Amino acid sequence: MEYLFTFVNTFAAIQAQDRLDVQKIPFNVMPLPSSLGDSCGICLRVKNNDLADVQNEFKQSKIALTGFYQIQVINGKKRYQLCH
Amino acid sequence: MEKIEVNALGKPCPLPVIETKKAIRQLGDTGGQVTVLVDNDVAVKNVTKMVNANHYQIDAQPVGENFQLAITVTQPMATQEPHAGLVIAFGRNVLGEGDPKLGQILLKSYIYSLTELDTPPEHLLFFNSGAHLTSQDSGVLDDLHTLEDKGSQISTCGTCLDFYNIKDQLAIGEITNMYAIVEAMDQAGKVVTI
Repeated sequence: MEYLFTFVNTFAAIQAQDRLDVQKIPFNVMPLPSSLGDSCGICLRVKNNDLADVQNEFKQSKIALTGFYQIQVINGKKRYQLCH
Repeated sequence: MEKIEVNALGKPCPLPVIETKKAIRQLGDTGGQVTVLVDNDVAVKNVTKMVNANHYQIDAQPVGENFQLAITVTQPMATQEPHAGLVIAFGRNVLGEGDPKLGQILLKSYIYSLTELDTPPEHLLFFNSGAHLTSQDSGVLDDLHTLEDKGSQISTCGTCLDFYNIKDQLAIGEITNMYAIVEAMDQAGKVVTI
């Protein structure tokens, strides 16, 4: 299971990437899925095992998030379930 | 049976492949045997790849610190049919010009997007600073593995891995040479250079 984090702007996404790099927490970059918006946004996706570490790091670093989604694959298509 | 010997000791890639191809062509339609001496694993792999692509037989044996490749040629070299696929050449580790931080994250985003294509690229070529993308510290290995699983071939320039001293960190795909890079571009349906 993977999770997707979206950010208020590209600077926040780059800042988030830098923090995860420093903490050596694995992640992957992907563009904002069309279903979540039309802007050319950058998102980070992380694996379930790293989720708690990522949330903790983002909280401590005060990363400006806009959303946090669970990535579900249904009939071969990805869906993004908003988490709270 | 005609026999030709090629001494490629001390010659950097892609010379061993080029000289082996020349020797095979010299044999003509009747075929024969080409014996090639090389002094490194990469040359063995690249010559073997070329030989296998042409459906010849090859026997590689270590000779001291070198390798002797005995190639048996039974028919003229195959005329390679052009492929219809997309070849993407990554000559750097950023997308576009401008802020390098933005360029790096955009390139990661671009590579993920390739995994979402219905038809994945046929071949991804990495050279110069693009060689860092196939190394252990790359942030795109998961996506490259997805592309490889979908059938994309992944090749990284051996000269570039040498230059950046990251040959032992190559984490995906194969080591290639300029000759093979040019051949892949020549046979592609479309080439995109990053």
